[in-house]
Amino acid sequence: MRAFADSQTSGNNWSPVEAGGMLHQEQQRVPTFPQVTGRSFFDALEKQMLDFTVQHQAMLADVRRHFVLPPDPNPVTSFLSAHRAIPQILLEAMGPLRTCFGADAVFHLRTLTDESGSQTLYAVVMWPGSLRDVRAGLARFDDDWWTAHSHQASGHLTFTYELI
Amino acid sequence: MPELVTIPTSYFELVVDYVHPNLKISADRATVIQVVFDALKPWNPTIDDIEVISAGKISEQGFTVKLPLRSASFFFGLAMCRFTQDAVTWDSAEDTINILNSAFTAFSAYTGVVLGDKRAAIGIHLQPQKLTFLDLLKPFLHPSLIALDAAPLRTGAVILKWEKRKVTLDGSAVLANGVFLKIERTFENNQTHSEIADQLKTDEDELLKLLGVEEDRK
Repeated sequence: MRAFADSQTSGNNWSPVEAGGMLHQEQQRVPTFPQVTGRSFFDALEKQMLDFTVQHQAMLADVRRHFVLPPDPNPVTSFLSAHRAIPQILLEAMGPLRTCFGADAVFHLRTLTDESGSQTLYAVVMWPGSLRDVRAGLARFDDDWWTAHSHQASGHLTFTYELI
Repeated sequence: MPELVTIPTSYFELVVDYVHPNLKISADRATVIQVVFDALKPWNPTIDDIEVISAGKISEQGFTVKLPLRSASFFFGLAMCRFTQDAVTWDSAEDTINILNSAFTAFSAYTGVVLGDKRAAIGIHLQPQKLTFLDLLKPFLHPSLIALDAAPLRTGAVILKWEKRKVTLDGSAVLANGVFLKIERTFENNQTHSEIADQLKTDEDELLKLLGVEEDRK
């Protein structure tokens, strides 16, 4: 969380962009009309894929603002790219997590692969207090939010704690 | 023992004002772009990495050349030029110096522009492994200010400015539990890019030591 409202990045946007064509083409583009009927799923597929990539990268940047990820290259980023619903769930969980564990709590993301090769993402609250308090917080989080939303993660996400 | 930190996000910026604005760059734009583009050829820019900026105030007009493989970008205007690079490390400093030398040498030689003072900045986002970001920031925030309110402190920032130097220490807006450190310095126009890098490295080491952290390079 920053205190001083100054830029903290280079300002460069490295998201993939669609080639815009020559300058004269940009300025003298033939007017087009929106197609409203009979639109195929495959229309402008490349543009759609590009938009998805840009949206996903923006969401990953948001996740990094709220969760501590292992150093790059890390399996968490790959996991979040392979399970596109999870970043959204993590971001929606932030409000209830802050309510249950406090505004200053630090959350880490880790992945674990079991013997069968199945991967699970762990959102871990790093807890400096007592075991009883963190368990109570986790129980409250489960009751208030996670139980109602856990089906969205299809068993790929677990919220837990680590005492520090 | 210093706290181990990772540096997931960082950037470098170098802004160079011309001694005199050069309007010829605008008139002869295509050739100037070609000269810079050719000089940067070893870093594989493509034609789509060039962008001509012809809107806005005249001081904002010019052209940019991006080097996506290096996450680097040049802007050449009529009164100044700017270089920015993301995800910089000291291991890649020599490569960055080569990019700067190639582009600026070719640009100055063709246009006759005399480069003035150089304003360099590095911004790094540190993520501590055990402590919180506030644990790192608090020693630099005066206790009497922290005591102004009984509520727990959420964040804080320190900004120090000298004639040719500035240091910003803040919570990170980009990373969870991160500290943002920005080091800025103004260098004379005759100082080489290697000298600039050496000085910034010394500054960074000094500040990381003050913060009580060490980069985990594993």
